Amino acid sequence: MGLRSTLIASAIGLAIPAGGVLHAQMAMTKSSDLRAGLNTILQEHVYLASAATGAALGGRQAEFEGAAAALDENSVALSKAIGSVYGPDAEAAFLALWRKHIGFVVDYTTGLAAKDKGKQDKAVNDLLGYAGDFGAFLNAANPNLPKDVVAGLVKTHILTLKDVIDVQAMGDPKAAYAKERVAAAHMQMIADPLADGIAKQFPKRYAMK
Amino acid sequence: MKLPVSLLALTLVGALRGTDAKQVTIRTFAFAPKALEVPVGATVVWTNADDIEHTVTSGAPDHADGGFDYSLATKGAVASTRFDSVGTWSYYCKRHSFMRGEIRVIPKGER
Repeated sequence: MGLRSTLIASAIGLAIPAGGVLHAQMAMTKSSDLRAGLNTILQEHVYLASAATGAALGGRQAEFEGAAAALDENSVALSKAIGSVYGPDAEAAFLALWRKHIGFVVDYTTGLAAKDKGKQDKAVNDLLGYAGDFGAFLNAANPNLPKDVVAGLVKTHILTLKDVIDVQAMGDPKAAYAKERVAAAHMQMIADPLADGIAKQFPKRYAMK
Repeated sequence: MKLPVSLLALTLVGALRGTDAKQVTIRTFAFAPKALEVPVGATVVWTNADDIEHTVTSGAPDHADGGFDYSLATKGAVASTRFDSVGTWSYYCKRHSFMRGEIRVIPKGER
């Protein structure tokens, strides 16, 4: 298990003994650990996605493949975090849903690279529709997370990431990194309510130590 | 593939809740149970517990077989089908193709 996965697993309440085997932790886990873990992984999502789109737009194939692979590892880690709370079916559904939005981002990026406005518009529409699906998923898992609120936050994630990609395509690294910081900072707006909602739903598990 | 036969309208399903009809719940973007075994002649009722549209479509993504195709547009929406032939029917959600389910219809008294 890598350091990142270890940190995430630790944050969501999984103990990693010296042998490296995961098991459910019976002890309480601080809600602040949960919050920190989700912030870490969701911000990492933005940085890795930006690395992948920047490499793709720059025609750097090997770099793109490396970033895309790391991005998928991040997706799997996030889905495992969800699965540790809501079970294996939710984990599988979440991973499929999460990968779907990454596919739409890839569609947008390739449309931008090809100057195909139709493909770009379709990808944006798909992404905005996905925001509603994502809101519905989290609301179904946790009634403390209102569908429309989650959808709005995910929509902002999509738009801030789109800003990054648009500036990358313009060949302006300084602006692209500035936009990337904005997009990454926004993820706290998703991670914090998600962590708080989970802690509220499972108060004993995420009680303060 | 044979059609599962009687396709009941979506409306009557409220009356089927609490009867011998077999229930499948759509929750958190998954069919539960994923695989359901029923005796021939049984009615299966799907209920959407998610606040988003799902479909119950027989076949597999890119291979819909036309057996049944229901849109459960809102939370609480229901649909049902009676299975009058022995066999196995796969189904999925057209909006979320990773959502898969299966109905296994066995002869009465076999289980």
